[in-house]
This record gives sequence, structure tokens and C-alpha cells, in this order.
Amino acid sequence: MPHPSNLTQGILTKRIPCWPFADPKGRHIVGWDEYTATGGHVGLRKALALKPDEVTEEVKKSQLRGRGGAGFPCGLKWTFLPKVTIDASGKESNAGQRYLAVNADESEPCTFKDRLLMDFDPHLLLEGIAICCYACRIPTAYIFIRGEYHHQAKVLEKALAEAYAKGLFGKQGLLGGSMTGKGESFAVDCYVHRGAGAYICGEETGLLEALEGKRGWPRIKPPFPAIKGLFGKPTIINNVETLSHLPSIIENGADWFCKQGVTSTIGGPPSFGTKLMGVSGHVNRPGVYECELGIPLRTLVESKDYCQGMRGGKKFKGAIAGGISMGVLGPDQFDAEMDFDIGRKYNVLGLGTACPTVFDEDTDMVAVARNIARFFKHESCGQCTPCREGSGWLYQLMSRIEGGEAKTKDLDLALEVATSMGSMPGTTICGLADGNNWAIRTIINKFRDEFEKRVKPTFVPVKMTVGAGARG
Amino acid sequence: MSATDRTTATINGNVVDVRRGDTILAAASRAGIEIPTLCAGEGMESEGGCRMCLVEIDGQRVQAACHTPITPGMNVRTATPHLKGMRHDLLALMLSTQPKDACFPDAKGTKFERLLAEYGVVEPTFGNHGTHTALDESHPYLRFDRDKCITCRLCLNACEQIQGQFVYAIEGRGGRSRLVFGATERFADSGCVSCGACVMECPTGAITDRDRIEIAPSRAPLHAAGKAVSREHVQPDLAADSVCGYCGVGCRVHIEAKDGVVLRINGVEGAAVNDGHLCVKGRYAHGYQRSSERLTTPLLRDASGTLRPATWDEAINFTARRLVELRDTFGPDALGTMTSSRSTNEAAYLLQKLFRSIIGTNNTDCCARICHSSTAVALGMTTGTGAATASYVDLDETGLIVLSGSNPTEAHPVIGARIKQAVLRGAALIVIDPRSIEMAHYAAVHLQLWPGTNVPLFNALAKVLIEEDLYDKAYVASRCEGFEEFKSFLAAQSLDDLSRLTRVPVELIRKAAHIIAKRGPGLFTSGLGLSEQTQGVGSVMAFSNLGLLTGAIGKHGSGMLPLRGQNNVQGNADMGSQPYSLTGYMKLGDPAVQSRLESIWGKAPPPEAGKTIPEMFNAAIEGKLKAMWIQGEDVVQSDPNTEHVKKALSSLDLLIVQEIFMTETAEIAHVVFPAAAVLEQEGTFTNGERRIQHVRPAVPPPGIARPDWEVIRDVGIAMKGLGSRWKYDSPSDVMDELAKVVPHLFGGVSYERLSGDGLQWPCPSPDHPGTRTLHTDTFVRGKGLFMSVDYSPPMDRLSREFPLVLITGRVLDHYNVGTMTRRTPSARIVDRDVLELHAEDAARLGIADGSRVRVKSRWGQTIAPARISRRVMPGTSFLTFHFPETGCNLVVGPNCDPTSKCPDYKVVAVELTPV
Repeated sequence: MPHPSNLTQGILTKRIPCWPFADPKGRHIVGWDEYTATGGHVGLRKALALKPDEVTEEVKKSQLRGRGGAGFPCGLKWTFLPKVTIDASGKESNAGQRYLAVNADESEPCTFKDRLLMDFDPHLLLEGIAICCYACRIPTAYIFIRGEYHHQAKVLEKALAEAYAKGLFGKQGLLGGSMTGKGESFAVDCYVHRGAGAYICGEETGLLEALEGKRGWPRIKPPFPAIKGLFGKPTIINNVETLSHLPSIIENGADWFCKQGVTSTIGGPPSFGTKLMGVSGHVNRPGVYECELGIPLRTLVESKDYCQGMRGGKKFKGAIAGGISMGVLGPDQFDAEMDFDIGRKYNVLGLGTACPTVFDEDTDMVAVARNIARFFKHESCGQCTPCREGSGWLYQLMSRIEGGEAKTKDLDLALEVATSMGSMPGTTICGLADGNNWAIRTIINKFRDEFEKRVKPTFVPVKMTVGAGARG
Repeated sequence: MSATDRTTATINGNVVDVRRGDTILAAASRAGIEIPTLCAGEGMESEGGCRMCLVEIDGQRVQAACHTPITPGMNVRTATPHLKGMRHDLLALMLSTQPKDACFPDAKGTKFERLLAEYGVVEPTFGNHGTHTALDESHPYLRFDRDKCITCRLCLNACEQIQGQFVYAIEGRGGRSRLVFGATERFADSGCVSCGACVMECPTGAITDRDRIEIAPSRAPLHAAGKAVSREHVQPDLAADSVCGYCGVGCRVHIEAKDGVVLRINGVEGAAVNDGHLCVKGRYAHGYQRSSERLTTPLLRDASGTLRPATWDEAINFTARRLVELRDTFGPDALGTMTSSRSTNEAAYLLQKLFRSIIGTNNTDCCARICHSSTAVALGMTTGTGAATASYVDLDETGLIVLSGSNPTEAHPVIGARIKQAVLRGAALIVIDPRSIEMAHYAAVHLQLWPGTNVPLFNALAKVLIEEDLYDKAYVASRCEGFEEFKSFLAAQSLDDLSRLTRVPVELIRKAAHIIAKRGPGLFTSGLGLSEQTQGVGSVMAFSNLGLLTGAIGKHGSGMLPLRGQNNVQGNADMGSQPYSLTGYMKLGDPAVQSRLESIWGKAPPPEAGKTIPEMFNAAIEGKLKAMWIQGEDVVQSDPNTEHVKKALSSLDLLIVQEIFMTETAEIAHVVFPAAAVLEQEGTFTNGERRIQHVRPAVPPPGIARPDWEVIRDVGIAMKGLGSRWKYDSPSDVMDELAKVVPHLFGGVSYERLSGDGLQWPCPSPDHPGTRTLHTDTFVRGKGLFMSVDYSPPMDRLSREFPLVLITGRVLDHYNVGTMTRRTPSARIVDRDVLELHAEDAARLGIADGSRVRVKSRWGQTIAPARISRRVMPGTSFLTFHFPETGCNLVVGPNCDPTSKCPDYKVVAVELTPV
């Protein structure tokens, strides 16, 4: 069932040339003047004319779901902040110090969608930050950007300097001290903070620890960040892409947003809006595409608008659903719709970052599993026993299987450890072990025959052509 | 059975109460349901790392019991086959990180080993992939075996949340994460203060006490890798709850012994003073007890002038006979005594009673003279009681601590840790000290004043509080007197002048005053830095003015909290060891007291005040004092002006010394009684918060050494006369008499009531619970008295010849003159006294770090190695007095506070020259 696209131009990628709307050769960094000249800050101006709670209400109504991986409703998250009291004359009590932590620690393997936004259209993110800060009454925002994103950090820093110079941020108040629906201007400070290269700092509470200058070890919840987050203060953590959606939602209204994407077919919450999908692996034209949620993976891969088919005309074997911690789709799941229902419908953890890595028929799934295990072993923070020790052991076991040294019972042991490591969330403090487990478990379950061949003594090496991350 | 109402939940079918803020683990533990853990510590924040405590909850995912709040109606299962399987795998994973045989299932072993046994983890299912690393035995008290470490981080959390030292960290991540000691590779080089809190928590035996294994009689064969592994589980044959014998904090200790040797000392969990915590001295420095240098038999000086062993009968009869002879020949005032602040209340009481009644003199004093006498005198004058008005528990409740002249993280480590935790929790701290002590780094403001200028600094703070209208007017009006006079006295002073004297900028003084006003009322905690000065009494009075101004005295969470030096210095003074007042601070010559004492003692003491220690020394040199009984103190080493002290003691016809070691004082004595040490006798100690606690023996004294109180009793009996009435079978009998002598303070105190945390005096009746806070409704003297104290400069003036100030004091690892701690492995941590001086002075004087320096004052000189340090400010220096080789007190002169006679150890004018 191909997904009919209503899009005639990009929304998030309005200023970033992307297929099928424009040739990426025309990409460039959009500065302040170009940004404002092309409809920038309209959403923010509209937001400032409203009361903060009205902005939140609009975002809630749009049912925008977080684009960082978990898909938690953004507006709902904002309402978890402590309430301010508003008296009869409309005067608000002081909300006190709160923080916005922008999660720009895009470290999930196979995922490179936020990077596109930060590479070329940084002011979109900054406008989103301003809207979120106003709606949530947050005076301070930190953009926590992945350490390896040197270039993107520089782009952001330059854009931020521009935004300060033009009066978007700073003590005079948002947009040069514009009067807001609160009856006064609202000032926001924004900073870029660079990570030091640990995957775990993309976990929201690990990110907060790292921002505080500590080891990026995820925190025990409760308390949740909206109550006690950065420096012990109420904190909202939102992904770059999520925030970048805010200007267009406020500009065009929630109803407009809800016309894109799909409702759930299994009775869950809807998957509205467009999504950046970064496709990698064995396809003819890998890259970031802005699609409406619900597009089938097959369409994304085979359409001439997008990836233009499997590389070398090979057969589809499977795909990582959206970042490796989501697990893999099997050969019979090529038609899976890329929306937030994917987890429950296709036995993966979820949509994740919606950045699939596609495998062709020649891919050695044992090598894929071993490579994934290696990643999680390397990135486990060491806080919880099952992940700290289990991830290393899983990697050893996968290496043994790949090398043909393992026995059949080792496969069952691997699944058993995967179970104690985190088949059920809660087994560890954060979801890293969970991701490791889902990846390994879905690969073994969906490609068990490949593993069984390896553990037999009559082992014949299979040609290895792993896509992304063949560094193994 | 299920819990459906709003206040209960169900765990394994048992209905349990739901209390706000409780985790599932806490609720289960209260209900007696054990959930295995490897990273949860009592009273510490949830770590949540080991994941052993995972439980199943209806309608929820698997959760860790240690950090999941229990909610009403929850149905929890803690031991399903699935959970057991997960725990088995977790243990197997942990075991497989270790090299072979580092830990193994053992039902009697460490917590980890017991769990391995319980879950049947016989072999590491996942193979041993840990590599063997060498044992770190660099530290004298602690050893670290990395092979056994499972990175549970209990040590790290104990270090941070109990001691506040932050020694440990985790390095690397994932499977490579490992415990490190800061940036150092060896334990000994770390910032460890050897408190042992981590050892108490370690579940695997990775961090252990060295003494526990070394003393264990049965040693295990050496491990193949060359490690000593204690396979035998050494069980103590005797355990006693007692009180630590070092500083005045008075931590409760649990002593375990085997075959008459101390096996280990732990803090008593839940104790009011220390709640299980101890410091390096209390926990580890017990090796002196079995030192071969202990005195084991009485010694008498023979005709040839040498001390020879004697029997108890000989020694006691000789002493009694000579005391009677000298009393009858030269009169009672020719005899004097110094009771010991290290010994028990019972011993101090009996010794002063012997001198006051059998002999008939008030020449009874104690070492408090040279430490907190100024505090006792000053607080006595301003409040009516010369003791702490607050309790340690107030540290946990206060929002402000003003710390002056006290270095608690070294001198009172358990209280130091408690103050640190209070500050980490958010209490404001103001440090007033010439040195940049550790607590100064935790302070909101550090007022680094010039030594000896406490009075102008406190006056300046009071002036700001009054002039900016920041004081508690209602409290001052209703509960205090002398305020108007004080106010006009301060009005006449200029803040700039005061600032110039103290060398503290006016802005900093104002800032501190504002914090005191905003965050108070708080605790005013002081140490010997205030009292051991020529203006000691004045300093404490000026400090107490601040307590009165802010309305701090007489309330919970605030008040005056001087930290006392010795384990029983408070008790010793309470017992009457001062020449100008009687037992329980009762007035000399008061007819009611006279008649009560006459009926109990048989004779009332003379109404005239006796001599203080310095006066007794002077009298001895003048030939007016003929005999002294010095109980448990090495005055030659600890008192100032060493040569003068030696001369005084040598002039005596009879010097009796009760000691545990042959100290420099004992060497001059005519009679030496070998004493039982703190671990070897029964009695009571009173700590710095007036808490009387029961001391119990755990090991026998060496040789025929005996507890002090028994020897004094026997001498009393042998002196005949009143002594014939001395019928005490146990220290408990002495306490019962004390209760009758001072009913208003001790009337309700008896040994039966001293189990557990003891009693804080005043405790006037058997049903009285003791007193946490003094002066709650009215001051003991009626009203709190403001004292207008004007600055008088230290007597030891700086001059061209002696241009630098020397401050003397202590370090963490040693106690006073080191008699005890020098005979323990602590001597390996700190093996000499060191002179700290500032880099500026060092450069000017040509002194290199580590080089030897001659320290010369008007009174004497010594040589010590230099350490260039930022802890002291230019123009000042600091020297410890723990080692007799240094003889620090040769340099300290006879200057003392004119009222309290407390010597000035803190401001000595010296000249420093490179040797």
C-alpha cells in the first residue's frame, strides 16, 4: 500500500534543498536575513501574541510526538512542569528558574537527521527554542550538541551570535523585547554546550548530568526532569527536530499539522506531521528525506523520489528500523509503515529516529549482530551491572559465533542474558541495555537460521558486506 | 490477601504499611522481607546500579526496589522464579568479571559471597575474564584488592555521603569502568582520611581493614597469586559497646576482641553522636593498647633514684603514707592534683574528692586549664553554664554554622564530617580562622583574620548586626541584659579600625554579618583557636555576644557548641577539677553545699579557691608545693614552657603519676601507677554535648595494671581517716554518690539508665530524659549577659627579632602529644611534626620546602622540617605538637589568659631561620 504524499515542499526542509523537491547541490547555511526573508519568525511572533498556556495548548492539540526516538507527546511533556498561578488580573506568579535542554546529541548509529537541520538551517531550531521557552516560561536554554559535531556546533554558535545581535535572545526580551501575551517581554538566554563523545549523554538524564559537568550517568527516576532536572530545577528536554516543528505548527495551526501523517490503525495515538528519515545502507540514493509519517519502508526504498531502489538490484533482506537500538525488520517486513505504530505491529522496539539502514540479501546478519554488540559494549556507561557486564559478554559471544567457535546452547544463553539485561524496561536505569537487547534479540529471532548455521561445525564463511558501521 | 485500602500495599502476600517517601526496599525491610542488594547502603541515597533488588509489580514493568517508591495498593513479588533467574545471571556476570577464585560462594563469607552461595552460582557461567591485579597495600589501615571489586560504588557513596571526602571516582565506562582513588594510583597517595566508612559498606571484601586480617590468629595459606586471603572466619570471643577514648566528640564504639586482643572497632549504628561513623583514630588507632611499651606494674623510685617495679601493696601504702606525712608537715595546700581528661568521670571524681576531703585542699585542676578553660569561664559568665548550650543533633537541623578557631575535619573528624554534610545539604557556613582549613573551602565566607584578633572581629560583626538592625530585638529585649551598654560600647568603635586590626576587609565582615542575619539563628562552634589565647575568655564572650544578638541560645538548631578536646574533658570539669568551684560547678563556701558535702564526704572542702596548674608549678618552684598527683597526662610535653614545667616537677618531694606509658612526666615521678586504658576499664565519659555515656571494657589491662578509680580508692582507704569510709565496689557506686552530691545536674543519672546513648546533663531526677538544649526558657544565670570586651593585643608581641606568628595545633592522624597514636600505624601516615609557612615568607627567609628550620621564640627553640603551604597566610606559620622529638612546646611561652590561666598556644612570636 503505497503512501500518497500530500507534500509539495519540505516543511522542516523548507530552506534546505532535498529530494524530491530540490537538488541538494543548492544547500547552504541559511543566515538571519535569509531566514527572516523566507518566512522566519512568523511562528514565534504569533506565539508571543498568545499567552504561554495557549501556545502549549496549540502544541498539545497538534499531538506532535517527540522526534528523538521515544515519540512522547511534546505538549503533554510541557504540562508536567510545575504550574504557575495566574490571578484574576491575568498576572502570573514567578515560575522561577527552569531550563530547556535541547538534545542535539545525535549519536544513535545510522542516524543523521538533526545534523541536516543544524548544518543548514540553524535559525529554525533557534526559533523553536524561543517558542518552547516562551510557552514553558523558561529563561535559559542549553543546546547540548554531540562532541563529534564540530562543524554543526560552529554553525550553531555563529547563528546564536547572530540571533543575540539581532535581539532574538538576550536580556531585552525575545525578538528585541517584543510585548507578549503575558503583558510584558520575556527574556531567554541560549547557550551551545558541546558533549565529549559519549552515546549515553543522549539519554535525557545522562545529558543533564553531563551539562552539570559530571559523568554522563543516567539518573534514577523519579524525580522526573520536569520536576527536578538540570541543577535541581524543572527542565524540559526536547529533540532538535521536535523543536524545529514548532514554528510551522504555531504559524499554520494544529489542525494544519494534523492533516499530515496518519492516525493509528491499532488504536494508539496518531503519527501526525512530517518526519526526517535518514536512509542508509544498500540503497541507490541514501540520504535524508522529509516524508509524512506512515510512508511504507518499501516506498521509501523503491520510489524514484526517494532512494531509487536497492543497490545493484539486490533483494531486500532486512533493515534497522530507526537507529540500532530499535531492533531490525525482517525480510517479510519490507512493507512496514514508518510511523509510531511500527513497534507494536512489527515486533521492534519502536520508530526510534526513523532512520532505517537497509540490508541487501548478501548481508551477514551475524556480523551485523556482532557489530551492534560491540557498539553497545563500547557505549555502556557502566552504571548498571546487567548492561556493564552483559554487553561485554554479548559482544564476546557474538564474536565467538561469528568466528564459528560457539555452540547451539550459547545462542539460548545469549537470549537469556538479553532477557535479564533488559527485555523488560526497568531492568536497568536507562534504556541503553534495552536497545542492545532488542537489537540482538530481534536479529537472532528473525534470522535464527543464519546463527544456527554458524554454530554448526560445518561452518562456511559468508561474504561480509555490512552497510553502515562496517568498521567492526 | 491483597491490599486495597489507601495506606497499605502487598509484598509477597504480606500487607505492609505505605509511608510517604518510602521505597519498596524500605517498606519490605520494615516488614522483615529481605530483598537482596549489593549497592544499597543504610541512610544513603539510592544508587540503583547493581539491579539485584528487581521486583515484579502487578500492572507494571520490573522495577528496582531500592529506588521505586511504594504506592498504596501495589502488589509486589520479590522472589519469583523469573526474578531468581535474573539475579542468578547478574551474580554470574559479576563473578565472571573477576579472575578465578577472587570471590567464591561461601555462606559465611562477604555479602557478595553469601549471595553467590544463596543463588547457587558455583561457576561463572560466562567464564572468568577478569585479569589479576596486584593488591594495593600502600595504606597502613586499608587495603584494596581490585580483583574483588564489582564496581558497586557503595564505597564511593559512603565516602561522599557519610564522610564527605570524595576520594573515589569511577574511571572508564562500560566493562572497563573501574574504581580509582582520584588521580592517584596508590591508595596511600589518595585524599583518604582513613575513616573506614567504605570498609563498612564494601560487599565483596575489595576494600578491607588491614588490622582485621593481620590480627586474626588463624592466617589462611597464601593464595596462589601471592595474596593473603582470610579463609577462616575469625569470630570474636568478646564484644562490648563502649565509647571512643580519643576526642571530645564521644563516638559510641562496638569493640570486638579475641583472646584479649582487639579484633576490630566499629561505630554503633544509630548512635546519637556518630550513627555508625568513626574516624581514623577511633576505628584504627587502637594498636597502642597492645604495645610492648605499656606500663604493666607499679614503679617506685628507690634510694638510688631509679624507678623499680613494686607490688600494688607497696606502691599504695607508700603513696598513702607519704601523702599523709606531707599533709601533716606542710599543710594541705602543699599538695595538689591534676585529674585526667582521658580517664573516667569516676576516677576524676574520686581523685578530687581525695584531695578536697581527705587532704583538705582545693588544689585540684585538670588539663582543661590548657584547652577550654576560657570557654567554660566565658560561657559561665554570659549564660550561667560553662558548657555547650546546643547538641550535635542541631548540626543536622541548622541553616547556619559559624565555625571559629576550630578545625573539625582534623581535630573532631566525625563532627567535621557532620558539618560538611550539613553544608552539602545547604546550610550556610562561615569560617573564621587565620588558616585556610579544609572547611574554609566549603564556607560561604572565610574571614581569614590575623591571629589573636577574634575580639575585634566578633565586635565588628556585632556592630554591623546592630547598626543595620539585623539582630533579634525581641529576644534581646526579653532574654538578655547589658545590651544598651554593649551597643554604646560598639558605637564608639569604628568599623574601619576593627577591620584594620583583624586585617579582614569591611565588605567581607558585612557579607558575613548579612549571612548570619539571613540564615540564622545558627550554631556558633568554636575550638581552641578561641580559648588558647591571652584574650581567650574575651574571645569566647565576644563570640557568645553574637549568639545572644541573633537569638541563637536556647533553641533547637542553634546555640553555642564549643568542640571539646579530650574524650572526658567535659566530665572532668563537671567532676570538680578546677580550684575555684566544686563538683558540678557548685560554689565554694556555699553553706548548703558545705553541709551536703560534709554529710556525704565526711568533711567539707575549704572555702578558699586553690591553685591552678600554672600556679601549682610556680608554687613548686618556690618550694610551697611539695606533692602532686598527675593522672594520665604528659604535662612535660603538652604544657607550654617545657623547661619551666620540668623544673617545677623536679622540685617536688612527691610526684605520683598514673599512666599507660612511660611518658616524659612519668620519668620524673616518684610513684608510677600503671593504668588501664580506655579499652580496658569501666566507667563513664561525658562528651562535648554534656552526654554521659557508659564505657565498658573489652580487653584486660596488661600485666597488673589497674583502672585509675580503683587505685585512687585503695590509696584513699590506705590513708585511713575519712578514707576508711570509701566503700565502692564498682564505678557504678561512685556514680550513685555523684548523683547525691550534685542532684541538680546528675540526680537522675545511674548506670542502669546509661545503656544506649546515655544521658545529657542536667538530668535532675530518675524520670528526667536529659537535656538537649540549655537555657530554653530562661538562662541559668537569669538573663543572657552581653559583655563589652575591648581588644587587647596578644602578650607575645611581634618584634624585629621575632617577626612571625606561630600557631600550634594538630593534624588528623595524631592525637595530642601522640602517646597513643605514635604507637599505631598512624605513625606511618604522619611520622613527624611539620612547620607550615607561606611561600612569600619562605622565599624571603631562604627556606626551601622540606628543609629544616629553626623555630625560635623568646622562650625556647626547636627545629622542624618546613612545608610551604597555602593554608597559612603570609607572616604566620603553623607547627604541630605530636612528636616529642620536636618539642613544640619548648617554643610556647608562659603567657596566658589572666582569668582562665589558659596558655596562649595560638599566638607565639617567633623567628624562623634555615638550619
